[in-house]
Amino acid sequence: MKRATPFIVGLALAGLLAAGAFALQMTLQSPTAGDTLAVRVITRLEQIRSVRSDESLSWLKSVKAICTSHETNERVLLSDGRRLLVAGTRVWLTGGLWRRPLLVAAEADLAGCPQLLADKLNARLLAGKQVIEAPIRINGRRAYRLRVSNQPPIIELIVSPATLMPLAIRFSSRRLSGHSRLLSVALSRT
Amino acid sequence: MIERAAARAGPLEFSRRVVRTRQGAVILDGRRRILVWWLVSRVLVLASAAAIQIEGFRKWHPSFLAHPFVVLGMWDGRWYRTIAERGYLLIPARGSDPAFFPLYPVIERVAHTVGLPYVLSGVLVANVGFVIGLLALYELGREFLPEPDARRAVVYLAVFPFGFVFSMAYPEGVVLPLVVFAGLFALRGRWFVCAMCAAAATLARPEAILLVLPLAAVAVRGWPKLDTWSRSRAVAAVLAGPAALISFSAYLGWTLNEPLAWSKAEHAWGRSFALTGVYRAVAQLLTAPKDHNQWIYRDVVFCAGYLLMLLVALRARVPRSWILAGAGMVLLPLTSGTFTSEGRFGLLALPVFWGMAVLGRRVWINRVVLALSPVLLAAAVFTIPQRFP
Repeated sequence: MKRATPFIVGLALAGLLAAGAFALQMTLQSPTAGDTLAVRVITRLEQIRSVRSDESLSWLKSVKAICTSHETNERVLLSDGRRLLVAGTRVWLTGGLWRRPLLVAAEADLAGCPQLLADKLNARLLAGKQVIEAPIRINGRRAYRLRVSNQPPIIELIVSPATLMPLAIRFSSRRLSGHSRLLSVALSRT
Repeated sequence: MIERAAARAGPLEFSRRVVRTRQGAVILDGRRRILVWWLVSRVLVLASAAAIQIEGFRKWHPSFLAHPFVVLGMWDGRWYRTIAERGYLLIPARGSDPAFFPLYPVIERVAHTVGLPYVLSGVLVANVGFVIGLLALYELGREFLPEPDARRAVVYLAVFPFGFVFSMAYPEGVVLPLVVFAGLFALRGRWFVCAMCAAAATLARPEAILLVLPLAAVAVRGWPKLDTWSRSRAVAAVLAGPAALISFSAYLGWTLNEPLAWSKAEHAWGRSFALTGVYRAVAQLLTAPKDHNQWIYRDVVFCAGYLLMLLVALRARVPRSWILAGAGMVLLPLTSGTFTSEGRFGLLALPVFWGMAVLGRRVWINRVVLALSPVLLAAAVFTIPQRFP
């Protein structure tokens, strides 16, 4: 027992040090409820494989869109035959009639591409900006409203409080405004 | 007067006093030289950083007066700032801040409360920590090597080309004095202060946990002469690093409900630790040109240099426990699968600089190092906007 005493006491002292170190770390801020919710939404978005949506943008004819996630990019097929390629937060028109880049970017945002939304939400979180806006009602039901974009245009993602699945997207810039209803969302097989 | 002093003290005691006085003068002179080299090297780094910002880089031209030394706050400095401002947040499958240890953001946060902007407070803390670390390293080096070698090692560290990191808003400037003081206080039997330094160092950078090796070696060597209470404190000092690591895990569990958040965040950053990581690190070198990752070769060169200097230090009879700790600091990161940032990781492998100092006994080597290093140090600052250290 006498031989073990230095080790027992030493272990206890190390424990005290650990407690002191823990207390020091407690001086750091804890994540806000809004940030925690945003992380959960990003996690949910990462699980989505494809999204079908019904987009409506300013004076343009409504289009339906299907966004499918692949390993390194996302592909959007619009009902007017145009195709978009999304990599990170960048968008390219890869097929169909030419449209102005601002319109193409807005259509990609409204298509509900999960990785695009997750990347933008992540960037906003890292910039330390507020993500959660005031809740709204959709079809009489309460929903969370998240500000996704870090800088103009304003992009808002509406999600279900119960499942955090995306329900709708709103887009607003100086020249354009629009919204989309996300009709169906397919999750990846885990 | 001297004859009267000699007559009073006796010839042997008088000789001892003369030797001590001369040694004191040598040490004081050594400290002065170290301070000069620290000042010269930091002026070079800060002036280069200011020049980059005033000249402007890419499309960004932040005003130097409004955002001083923003270059030195780039890369990981941004993550430490985020933690200091908002705490930790684990974002699954994406690079997030639990990969960065908490002590440095805590210190930045405290410095910020006195009104300093985060970048400036980070840079200030790093530079002040660096000069304290250099002076302490001189004391520690003299325990293992002759005074000229110990002084040379510190000067070489001050002007080392990768040493610009010690002026960035990175934790290395804080970890250096903590690591050195842990070793110094262990040798002087001040175990509780040693324990606090070891714990604090690990709370700033995980590789400081390797202090377990030299601290355990000192404790084992001195064990027969220690009383029970001193032995207890020695054990606490050896366990301090692991205890700090456990406290970080406990904190992440408390704040994020994920005690392994650090490991998950590292994984998202592309670093997953496994024995096969060394193979992946070497394989990465073959595909680096195709992946436009030529900067990796910079870290390979530094890694090779560090290992060579560790061998030189081993031959110079620097304690093996310190050599092992240094080797661990250089080699263990390779198990994450990449050589990335090896140049920075090796800065805390103290025996590397003792090995360099031994080589520098040759006058021509010393002159080449002192002529080239400051130039390379200033030039290296200009690489910051292009590549993280």
